[in-house]
This record gives sequence, C-alpha cells and structure tokens, in this order.
Amino acid sequence: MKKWMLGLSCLGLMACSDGSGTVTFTTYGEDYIEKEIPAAVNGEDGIVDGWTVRFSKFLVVLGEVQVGNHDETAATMSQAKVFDVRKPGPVVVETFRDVPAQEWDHVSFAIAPDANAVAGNADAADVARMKDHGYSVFMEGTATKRETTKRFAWGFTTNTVYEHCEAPGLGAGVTVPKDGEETVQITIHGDHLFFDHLQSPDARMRFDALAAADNLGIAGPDGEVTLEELAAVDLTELPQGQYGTGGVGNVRTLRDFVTALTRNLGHFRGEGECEPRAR
Amino acid sequence: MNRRHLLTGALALAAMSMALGGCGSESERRTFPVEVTSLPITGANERGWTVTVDTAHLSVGPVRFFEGRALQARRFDWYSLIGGTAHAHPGHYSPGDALAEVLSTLTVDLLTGATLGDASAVTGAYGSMELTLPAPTTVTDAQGVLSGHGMRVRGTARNAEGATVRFDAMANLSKPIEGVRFEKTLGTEPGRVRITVKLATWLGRIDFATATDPDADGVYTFPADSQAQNALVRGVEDTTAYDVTWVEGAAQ
Repeated sequence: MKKWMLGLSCLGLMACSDGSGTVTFTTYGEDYIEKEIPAAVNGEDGIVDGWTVRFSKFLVVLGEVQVGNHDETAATMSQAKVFDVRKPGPVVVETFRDVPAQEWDHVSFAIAPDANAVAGNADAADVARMKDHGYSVFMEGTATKRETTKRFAWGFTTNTVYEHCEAPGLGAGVTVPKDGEETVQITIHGDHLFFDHLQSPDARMRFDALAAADNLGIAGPDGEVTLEELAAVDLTELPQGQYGTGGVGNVRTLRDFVTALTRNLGHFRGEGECEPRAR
Repeated sequence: MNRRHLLTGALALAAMSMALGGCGSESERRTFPVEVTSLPITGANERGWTVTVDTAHLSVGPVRFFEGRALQARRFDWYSLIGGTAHAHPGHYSPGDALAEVLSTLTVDLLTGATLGDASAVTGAYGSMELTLPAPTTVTDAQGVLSGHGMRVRGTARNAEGATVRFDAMANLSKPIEGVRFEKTLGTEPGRVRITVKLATWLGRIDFATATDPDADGVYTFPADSQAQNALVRGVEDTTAYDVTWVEGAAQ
C-alpha cells in the first residue's frame, strides 16, 4: 500500500515538477548536547542511574550529503565539514540551489573521517584535531552524580553512512518546492552515546559502568574515564540485563560498545531515522 | 500500532491491502513449519576452552515474525494515516507489524532437532523474528530435562593448560529475544523456516574456570554472579546465536 500511495504522490507531483528550488541542510545537537543530559527523575527521560552529563565539545565530520531518488542524484555535498554541535544551532551544513522541484525520496549523509575536511562552525584547532587523528566524532565533557564528577574526552574513527532517511509525518527524503526553499536538519543525538543496549527499543541511558571504568584503568581513578579504561571492561563483568549487544557482532568491551553507539548519532529532522551502514 | 497487536494487526493490514485491490501487492494467508536445530561447536571459545556438548535442550515458543529488519529496522507509519502516532526509537530495532507466529511451546533436544509447529502467517516482506524461551512446565517438559530452565547445556570444557570442567549450564531469560534477523520476501511457495542455534555463540565467551560449584559427581554449575553465568546469558541473548533460514520445498 505504501508503494501505491507513493505512486499516487508521484503522479501528483509529476504535473508540477517543472522548475527548481533550494534545499538547505542544517545540523543541530539539540538540548542534550547544547545544555545537558539530565538524570532521570520521576520516570522522565534522562540517565537512569543518577548521572548528569554536560558536553563542552561535540565535534562531527559531516559529509556526502546527497539528495536523489532511485534513478538519479540531484545534489551532492562535495566538501566534508567539521561541526561542533555543542555550539548553538541549528547551523547550515550546505545549501543546494536549482534542485529540480519534486519529491526526492533518497537522502543520505556520512559521519566519517575526512583528511580534507574544512571548518563548518568548528574552531580551527578542532578541525586540525579531527584531521590529525582521523576522527569522525569527538566529544568531551563531564558526568556528575552527587559529589562525584568524571571527565571524558573520546575520539572515534568510525565511518558511517546514513541512508534512506525518513522523518515521522514527513516521509522519506525531501520534497523540493518550486521557487521555494526546504530546510532539512541533520540532528545529532548525543544521548545515544549512553544507551545500555545496541538494539533494544527499551534501552536506557546509564553512566555507572562508564564511571566505574575509571577505577579499572591503568592510570587508576584519576577522575577521567579514558577509552583505554573502557577497553579494559569486558561486558561479562557488567550486570546481566545491561549492555546487551543484540545482533551487533564483535562487541566485547565497553569501548567496543560506545564505539558501536557512535553509529547511531546521526538522525533526520529531529526524531527521524536513517539506516546506518558501517564502511 | 502496538506491536502486541501481532497477527491480528497483520491480518488486518492484509485485509486492507486486499480491499484496495489493484493498489499494490496483496498479502495472502498461508502457513509454514518452523523447525529448530543446532550447529555443533568447533574449535576453542574466546576464552580458550574447547567444549564437548553432551546434551543441549531448549524450551522454545512462541515464535513470532515481523516486518521490521533487525538493526536497520524501520516501519512505515500506518497508524499516522488514520490520525494516530506511532513512535519507534530512532536507530534502534523496531519490529513493525507481525506477519507470522507459532504459539506452541516445546522442549527441543538441540542435538537431534524438532519441528516446533506450523506458523499462522501472511505473505510479505519479512525482516526479523522474536524468540521466546520460557521456563518449561511439566506439560512442555514432561521428562524434566530442562530442570525448570529455559535452556540447558551439559558437557565438558578443556583448556590448553589441561584443566577440565564438566559443566551443567542453565539460564532463564526475563524477556523474549527480539530482532533476530530473518530477511525474506515470502510468497506462497512451499518451504519451512529453520532456526539453527549456534552453540558456539551460546558458550563462546564463557571462562569455565569461574564455574565454582561442583556437585557430588564433580559437575560444575555456574554461580549466579559468575563470569560464566553472565557470559552464558549474554550468549543466549545474542541474536546472532540464531541463524534463521528459509528452506525451500515441502517438509520432510
């Protein structure tokens, strides 16, 4: 039936597909990245074991933004850019002009390392950091629970393309209006970094296990949780029912787990979804 | 749409599609057998233990099949068409609508395999499966081979240092295993679904040295807070432990 409806939609649009319009892609870290991820209170969304997370930096390398359909590509971003979505947003990623005015049901983008990336809204030093280390994602911040504060500064080299993006109520892709402009937001969900399951829709945000890793690492409990310390925590040391991997293979440590979660940071128009594909 | 509408919802969708004849593909009612078997272990596990399995049993059922694909699952928002809202957590598995189910529960000897039953189903694009491993009853496990647990494996583990552990591993899961991959566009062709339990995945992360409770016969069980029990449960919960395939042709 979906195909049937899309078919009707296409028929309707074919009659007015002459002309062109503009599509502007933006990116936004939402309140969870710009302000904080709160501790869950009274069953509301938040970190369930009492931690509050604040980011001081949240860098992503965005590139390969593409608009098209099954048959053709209407627009492609040619230059990857580094954004700090901790800064107030949304900010413009790319504007495509003179795009044929019609429905384009394939929208995709990548969060991937790029040695030629340039600054989006990130500082020059941060752009250099991402390129020098081959990072696609880097975040630093603090997590606080009562009197305890843990610092973290984690960089990841994951290469993920987000395909077939679709938003609730808006459908797949984007419809370019004739002589008009449509804005499409690539939304970065920073809270996903703290989920305790890689697949379950019942995943909860936690930080206890990540904080405890600071006690297990080579440097000891120095207040900073490093990726090396996370790598020292085998998931079988953690409580049953937490940090399940679903069908994601080769995830054995907390570092593996958080790394896998970075492949779910990219979203579409707020709560919309894309299909992440590891490269 | 609540996923627990299950087959009723799916059949409703099928009926809606048929009512809109000519507007796209139509779903048809059908059945297919679902069988359960296992893949033997070869080689050492991740902790260096080579395992010989003597017995392996599983309490299994109901089994349900959904349209949503595992990990990349998305659903078309049918409910929004009639003014409702349907939310799936972005980036995480969402089963979507149910397409088939077997409601029976059976104790399966995994070393010989068994047919669980016939699935009541509709044709369509399948994406994933949900597997329930309930605690058995005296009816479903009359011989008591599972000792009240959802799964049980007995055998011997040996490592390169010469240690030998005879073990009796049992686990209960508090909820069904969701999001097992099964991608198949299913029409009315004859065939059956085969669920192959990969015992190597079940036991793959267990350090048998942490099994510290031998019985009078020297058989070790896994303490509840041991690495062995934790790894066992994670292995059983791992959706990649279940290889779900479509076997063409009539059932043997």
